[in-house]
Parts: sequence; C-alpha cells; structure tokens
Amino acid sequence: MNDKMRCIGIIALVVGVVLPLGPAPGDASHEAFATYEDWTTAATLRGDRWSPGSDAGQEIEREVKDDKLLMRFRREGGGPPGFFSHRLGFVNPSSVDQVEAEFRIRHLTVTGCDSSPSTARAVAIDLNRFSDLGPDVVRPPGSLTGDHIARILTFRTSDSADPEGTLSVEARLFRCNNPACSLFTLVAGPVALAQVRIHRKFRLRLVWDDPGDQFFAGLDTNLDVALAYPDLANRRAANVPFALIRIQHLPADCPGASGDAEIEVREVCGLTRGPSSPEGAGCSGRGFIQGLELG
Amino acid sequence: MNGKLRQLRGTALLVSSLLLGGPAPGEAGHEEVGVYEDWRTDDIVRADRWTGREAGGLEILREVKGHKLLMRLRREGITVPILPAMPVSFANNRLSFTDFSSVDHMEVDFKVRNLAVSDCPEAVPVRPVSNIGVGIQLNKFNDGPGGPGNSTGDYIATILAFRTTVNLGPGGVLVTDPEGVLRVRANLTRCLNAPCSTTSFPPVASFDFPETVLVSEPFTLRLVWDEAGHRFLAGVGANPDVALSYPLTLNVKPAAGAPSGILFTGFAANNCAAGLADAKVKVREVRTNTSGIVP
Repeated sequence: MNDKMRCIGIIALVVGVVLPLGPAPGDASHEAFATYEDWTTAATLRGDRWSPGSDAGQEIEREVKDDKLLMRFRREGGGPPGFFSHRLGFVNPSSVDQVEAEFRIRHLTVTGCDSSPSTARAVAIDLNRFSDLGPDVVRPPGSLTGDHIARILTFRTSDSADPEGTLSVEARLFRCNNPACSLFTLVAGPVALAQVRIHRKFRLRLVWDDPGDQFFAGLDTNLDVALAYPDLANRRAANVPFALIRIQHLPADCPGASGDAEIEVREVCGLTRGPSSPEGAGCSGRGFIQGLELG
Repeated sequence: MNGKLRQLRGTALLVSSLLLGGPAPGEAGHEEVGVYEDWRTDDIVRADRWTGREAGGLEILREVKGHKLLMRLRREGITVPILPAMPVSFANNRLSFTDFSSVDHMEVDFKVRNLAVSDCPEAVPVRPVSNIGVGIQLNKFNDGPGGPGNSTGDYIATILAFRTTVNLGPGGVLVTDPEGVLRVRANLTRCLNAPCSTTSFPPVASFDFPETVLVSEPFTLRLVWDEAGHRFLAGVGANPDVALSYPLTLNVKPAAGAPSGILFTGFAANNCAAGLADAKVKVREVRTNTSGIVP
C-alpha cells in the first residue's frame, strides 16, 4: 500500500477509505475471472445471461454483431436535468462478485452550454451488493435508499480541455440517499485511474472484497485501487442488487445539449455463483489470480 | 355507413360500437395533413419531436439510417429457474410524440423485415403464446382520475399489424398465420393504473381488419380522432376507415400522458427455449394534422 486517502462523509456511518496504487490486478479475488460472455455462443443476446433496460432517450442500439455487443445511447438535454442510462445487467446480480470487461468506444459526442456542461459516461461497470439499513427497516420495492454502488467509469465533459477523443477513468463508491439515488453520498473516491481513448480497446475491472470491506477497481493491467467502506455499511443485502454495464449521460438543461456514445462490449468476465451461472472457459487467458496474469 | 356493430359490455362505462366500411381514409379530419417526420431534416431522432422508450427487450434498435428510422425488438421467453408466474414475457420499443396533445391524426408508413415469432413445441403448464406487432397509438382523453404522473383513465386507440403463434399442446391446435403475413387489429382501451402498464380487457372497442399486410412490403396505418363524433377512425392503406366509438361521457378531460406515437410490441412464450418474438421495421414517413407538426 503506497498511499492512503481517507474520505469522511457527512453522515456518521458513511466513512470511506481509498487506497490508490494498492493491490495488483484482481489481487483481492481468490478466484479467477471466468468468461461470462464473449458473444460467440449465440448470434443474439441470451436471455438467461442478460437483463437489459434503459431510460427515455432518442437513439438506442443493443445488438450482437460480429461477436461483439454494440450498445449506443443518445440523450438530448433541454429538459429536467438528470442521469439517463442504457443498462446491460447480469441476470442474477446477487451472484456476481466481480466483473471485468473489454470495451472499445466507437463514437462519443458530448455537447453542453456555456454555463452548464454536459457529461457523457461512455461506459461504466456497477456493482450494488449491500445496504446499510438495518434488518428492521422496511424497504419499499425498488427503493435504492441505503444501497451502496461501486462504479468504475469512463467519462468526458463537454468543457473538457483534454485532447479530443480522450476520456478520464474514475472509480467511486457511493451510498444512495433516496429511492431513485438522485441524492447520494460519496463513501470512497472518486479516484482517478488514467485515461482511455476512443477506437482503442481497454479493460475495466471491479471486484467486491466482502471480507476486506472494500472494492477494487482497475484499468487494463494497471494496479487496482481500493474503495474501502466501514463495516457497518454492509448490514444486509442490497434492496435493488445489480451488476451491470452502462452508458450514462448527464445532459445539461439547455437546448442543444446532448450525450451520444456507441461502444463495443467485447469479452465479459465475471465471478458468479449460483445455479444460473453459465460455465466459463477462463476469460481467454486474461484472467488474474493473486496478481498473476494467466496465459 | 354500410353497417354498425355494437358491443355492449357489462360495465356502464365500457360501451363500444364499430362502424364497418364507413368513412373514406381520414375523412373525419377537419384539418390538412402534412409530413411530421420523414427523417430527412436530420440524421437523428429529434428530441423536440420524439421521445423514445423501451422495456423488456433483449435486442433493441432505434436509429435513423438512410432517411429511415430503423427499429428492432427481440424478446425471448424466460427459461431460467426463477421463472415468474407469467405465461409470457413482454417487451416494447416506443417512439412517442413529444407533444401528443396537438396530434389528432396520424398515419405512418412501415415495412417489416426479418420477422420471427415462435412458441413452445410442447405443452407447458401455461398456454404458450408469442406475438410481435408494430403500430401506432393516439391517446386523447381521460375519464376523470388521471393527472400529472397518473395515466389512469386515459383512453388509447391503437392499430397494430401483428403476427401470433399459439400452441395449445397435444390434442390442441397450433394457431399460426401463413408465413410472412401479419394481421391488423384496432382497439380502444382504458388505462387501469398510473403508468398504464395494464389496460381494460376486453377493450372498449375492437376491430379485426379483413386486410393483412406482408413482411417486406410497405404498408400504411392510420388513426384519426373524431372528437365531435365520439370515435376514433382506424385504417390500413387506402382502404376505408373503421370507427372505434365510445360514449360521449367518457371524454371528461384531456389525456394525462400515456404515450401516443409509434409502438413496437412483442411477447414471448415462457418456459421453453423456443419462445421468441423478433422483428425489424423501417419507418419511412410520419404524417399528422398540420397543427401537430413541429417545424
């Protein structure tokens, strides 16, 4: 552990610790990633593996072509501000402890206004596995309040001064403070990882280390960073558990603002448990065990 | 008016009548009809004209290419052990008018491609039915309870070209249409809950057209609200419209907000791997009353 940054939230329970440049890739996992999907077993999205969905938007694409999943989402602003997503969820999220996937961003456009930038999150991986609400708290179906979402994401804002075609990569852990999770508290992060470029392949990784009270997030073969949380944050299973890949736009509230991203989802690796977990052959030799790259 | 078929339902509210072989196409419109969208002014789905939504589909497409809107919807039946107690899995892909209140006449040119719909080859615990359909909807009035965020009481007129397969199992009859043929049905239903996820059955009014349409052949569907006549008119191509009538007393106030526009809908038989609903459609031109056009 080379460095340690402590992030103290505004509520007593929500204290986060971020450990950048921590473990080697996938270090926290005691099991190898296995191939969950490489889009070669069927020419279509398999309903026994995936549960997709999206918010209102304009263009959308979700189709398998040439052994890759193509996902696109375009959302214009000018209306009420908010987060608008196109999601690809694992069909049995409570069995998914870690996800790694290879992506390629085909196209990205993000337009804002002078006074209000837009943000396009071309691709993100989310894990929502636990809640800090006690077992006696009644949770309405669908409410995210108390759930903790770990996320690794690539993004670009409309006012970015970075070179064209460059996206930043960050990892974060946040607690949802209302049912829709439009209000939240950062528990750990955001931790800046590196940058990626459109048209180039890259891999994102997110691992839940339940015994260690932390998540690990990684880009390509770079060292993972840790997103730590206090033990009391994990009091019960998440009310709305999910493990998913998403495109997410935050268009500004002005005419002409928009976000548009088209991505390739290539290989998806995961560690899954449970009766519906598909058999995997080993993530094409790019899995990791105890920091050792396989194959 | 050549004939009239009246349907009297058990409840006082739900009274319908059908006017067969009645008005010429679009006769009830008191306003000229113009091009609302031909996908030529922009190569995108314009947010000032349209809002897109989808739910329940695996593959989804809603994109403009070559001056046409391409839409796809594909749904499999659920086969995993966590099967819900539903015989089918529903999905839709919609493109709705941004300001539906100003549109009371719409007609849309379609061409269906790559249609596949199949149900279970053997008897399963529930009746296996699969269906895929594309059509248009107008939502114009509410009978009282609706309001912001609550579409209860909205009345939605729909005309849909669809293909269905039903397998009644051993000793039953496999009901299927000839290859490449879609039947056409129009109906008027009432929204029964806030998101309008359930509607009245039987419908307030319904009509099965004698005309069919074919895969890979262009066809036009039309809906007109004749407020003064207390009816909607529905038509296929240049054939005479039929009327979906309703009691004057149902029109208490403007519709609350259930969608009006283009509907792509499907459901697939659960409990078997063969349950499938899949199609692509090209949408070439959308015409509405001129006051509904967004320049």
